[in-house]
Amino acid sequence: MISFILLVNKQGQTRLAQYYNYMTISERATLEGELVRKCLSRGEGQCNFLEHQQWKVIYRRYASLYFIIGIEEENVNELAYLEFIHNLVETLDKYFENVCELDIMFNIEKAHFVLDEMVMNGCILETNKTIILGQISAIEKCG
Amino acid sequence: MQAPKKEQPTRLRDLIKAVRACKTAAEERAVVAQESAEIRESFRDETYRFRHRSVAKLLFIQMMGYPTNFGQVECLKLIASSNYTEKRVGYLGLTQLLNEKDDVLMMVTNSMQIDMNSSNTQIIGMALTALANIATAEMCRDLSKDVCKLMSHNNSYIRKRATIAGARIVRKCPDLIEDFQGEVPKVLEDRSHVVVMNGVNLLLEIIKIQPNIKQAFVQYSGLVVRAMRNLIHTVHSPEHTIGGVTDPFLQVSLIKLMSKIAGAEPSEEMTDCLAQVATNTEPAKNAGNAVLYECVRTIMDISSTSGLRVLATNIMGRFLLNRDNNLRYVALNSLLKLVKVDLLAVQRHKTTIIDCLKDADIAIRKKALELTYCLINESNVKQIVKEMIDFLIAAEPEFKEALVTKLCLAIELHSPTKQWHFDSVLRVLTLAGSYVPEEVVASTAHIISSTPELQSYAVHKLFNALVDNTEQQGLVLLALWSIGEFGNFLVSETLKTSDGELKAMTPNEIIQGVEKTMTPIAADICKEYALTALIKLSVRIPQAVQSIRRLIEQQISALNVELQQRACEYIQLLGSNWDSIRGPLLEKMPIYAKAPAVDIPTTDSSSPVLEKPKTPTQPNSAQNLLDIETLIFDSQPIQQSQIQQSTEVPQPQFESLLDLFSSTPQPSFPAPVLNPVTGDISEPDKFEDFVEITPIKHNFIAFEDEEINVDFNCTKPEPDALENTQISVIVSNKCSKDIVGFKLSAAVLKHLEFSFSSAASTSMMPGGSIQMQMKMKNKAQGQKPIAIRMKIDYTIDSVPRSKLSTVDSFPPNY
Repeated sequence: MISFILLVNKQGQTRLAQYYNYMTISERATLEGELVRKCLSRGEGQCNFLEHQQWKVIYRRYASLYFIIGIEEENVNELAYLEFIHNLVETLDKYFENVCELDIMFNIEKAHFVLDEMVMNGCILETNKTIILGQISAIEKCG
Repeated sequence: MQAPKKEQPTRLRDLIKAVRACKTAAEERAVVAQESAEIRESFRDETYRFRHRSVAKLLFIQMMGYPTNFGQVECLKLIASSNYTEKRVGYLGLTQLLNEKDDVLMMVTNSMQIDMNSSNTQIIGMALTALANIATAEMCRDLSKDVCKLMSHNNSYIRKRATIAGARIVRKCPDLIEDFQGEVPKVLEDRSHVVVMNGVNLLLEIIKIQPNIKQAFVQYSGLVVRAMRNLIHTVHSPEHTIGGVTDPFLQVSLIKLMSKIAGAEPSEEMTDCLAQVATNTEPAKNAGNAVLYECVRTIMDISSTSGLRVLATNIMGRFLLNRDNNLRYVALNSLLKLVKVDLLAVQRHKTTIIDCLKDADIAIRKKALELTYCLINESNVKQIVKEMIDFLIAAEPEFKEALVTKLCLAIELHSPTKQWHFDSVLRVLTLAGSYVPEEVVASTAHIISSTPELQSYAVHKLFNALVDNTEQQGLVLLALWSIGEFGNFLVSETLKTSDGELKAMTPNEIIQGVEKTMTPIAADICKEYALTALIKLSVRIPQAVQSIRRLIEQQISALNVELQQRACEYIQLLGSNWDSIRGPLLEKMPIYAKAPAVDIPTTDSSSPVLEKPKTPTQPNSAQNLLDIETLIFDSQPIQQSQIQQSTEVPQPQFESLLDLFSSTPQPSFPAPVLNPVTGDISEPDKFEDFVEITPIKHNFIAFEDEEINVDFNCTKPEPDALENTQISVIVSNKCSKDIVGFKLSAAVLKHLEFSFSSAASTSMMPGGSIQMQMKMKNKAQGQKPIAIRMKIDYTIDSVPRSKLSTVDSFPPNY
């Protein structure tokens, strides 16, 4: 089960965060800092997996932004979650049309809505871009 | 026109800009505080039109790590709103700003129920999302019926959400599993891929919570295999295809589920299906590899045919050879699993695995190390250890420690000969002596002392290594110990070995060698070992007594009390009045019993004077100190048996290695030591009260199970107030998981009073420990014993444990 999904930039500023297990604000801040430091210390060709405390961490960098998923589970299919990160990035990219860090930051609630269509209760809910974006535009029209 | 403009609140965009313009953290705090105040103010206005904008800003503020609790109630109001946008933002705020520990959450149950029965699918979806993300057990129970109903909704958008909400409900309220169990076949047969995927999630959740009902799901294995078949055989629809694989996420879920519901023996169709996936999946892209990886893991989990296993191992072998580090990482990971079942299959990839030890990526190296360690056996230990030592040279500190630990363990467990064992440890000590655990130094010392034919060789080798390198503490300690014990070989013997001649040393060279370890910056423990080595050398190499005396005298003014005391004692011992006693006193250490990890029979080649009859080990320093004294003053009527009435539990044996001169705190009663100032030896009369003293130290295990171990080390700190006991409680984590939230509470009988200092930390890593101090006053000392009732609470993997235990193994009149 996914415990958290983070989008953090290279300066360590969190741009989007969803937690599916309870953590206090200060615990979150500490965790985010530690994870970014760990990710930054790793080179280009190194593998995209980390172990941090009780979590298996799968991360991938896109331009200046790290996409980080933490999973609390014994048997994690790291490759599948790596694929999911890519799926998430593609979806955001399609939604924002060439997504960049600023798009996510300035439209934080929209980014949350996209993520809400893809992950729920720490489970992958939907990975089909067409369905996800179709749904979101339907909701936006209603509003 | 001014007024309405003021009404317009800052937009999120402007807030972000303002925050980004801040140059210092203080400025940022000020901006956030001001904005928070404005948002709070705006909430008071019931007719306020920009509530949703405020919530978006709160999301941002929270993400920066500032408190946003004041916005919680506002979210509830927004959810109840009839305005669609407001409701949506309200639900978002609810899931992000609140958590299941917040009491206000309860208040939303009603609104959620109303929304779940809405005619608008989007609104139902929002309520389900919120429920799935943050609902408490109570809310889950209240809304369970509605969710169950929605699992059969005609819109797949609702069905998939209801299924995941169901997973939340069974996790929070395991007793509701039955309600959802019946829905399982229906969702597994759903025509929407994504509903099936989430159905699998629900099923996995149920199995995780109640592993014993796994059997009930074996009947669905046909269903799952059929779903999987359909998936592989469908013509590629671009909508579902990622990297040339049809819906890899669903495939991964289904294969994972297969491993859980395969039953005792997997059906033929499942085996076929797995074989088909393993052979036909396109490995060019990550998506395909994810499916292959899951397939391999399932094959290893279920009792597969050997053909299938070979297929799986070959896929991992291919991953291992791939240049992509991600694939190598998962390959090592799954081989680690396989190694426990099928060692031979993994052995075939030995060379590749060992190669991974020099990968640039530490994550890979660590996994490879773990795996390499598992592969070592008697027949390949020489080769693998040699390669591991080669990697040690280049390893960075972080990796060195892990490597050394595994290396030493491997050497200890599998060494074919003692000579090889010693040589290998020596190489490790020379390269990374500071990382070598104390136990290894101790066990190597044991090997030397128990193998007479090795002694001369070892001491020569160690001395040469020491002369070249005094920076590796482990090496220094072992070398000093050996020089002290077997220094006589250094002067008397020249050895021929395969790699050259080991020359005999002059006494001067030896003393100079020892002197090198006693520089002012050397660690105190090294100096302690050096002092003991020197005093022992005074009998082994009598010609060097003058230089020995000089070196020991330097330490008389040492700042460290232990060093100072030892130096004073040894100088006394060098006096001519002790000539007759010195020889026997400084005999070789007896061969002590060995920690069970290594099975080396003890031979009594030397029968030292200090060996006590029938006492296997000398458990603590206080005891040993007494022994020396008994020996020195053996004309005095001290009855050893009476002194030895202590009830100590033997400590790990390696501690007795040097405990004769150990640095552990000295007993607090006036021990008959040599007076450091005057050099006088206390008059014999003073010793008489010894006979009556209750055991001063008492160490024992107060509680032990498979996860933790609680040791009590008790001392009587004040010799004239024996009712007081100082107990140092050491709790250690024996399991392989982190222990958090450790709490120890205690209760005692009326005749006891106690106080407790809490531990510095409440969490322990695997192998870690924490220490607490307890002061106990036994008002009925001598009449009633000490007994403590302990309650131990802690959490592993967020599962709380609570244990009760009564500790009554204190000596009767303690």
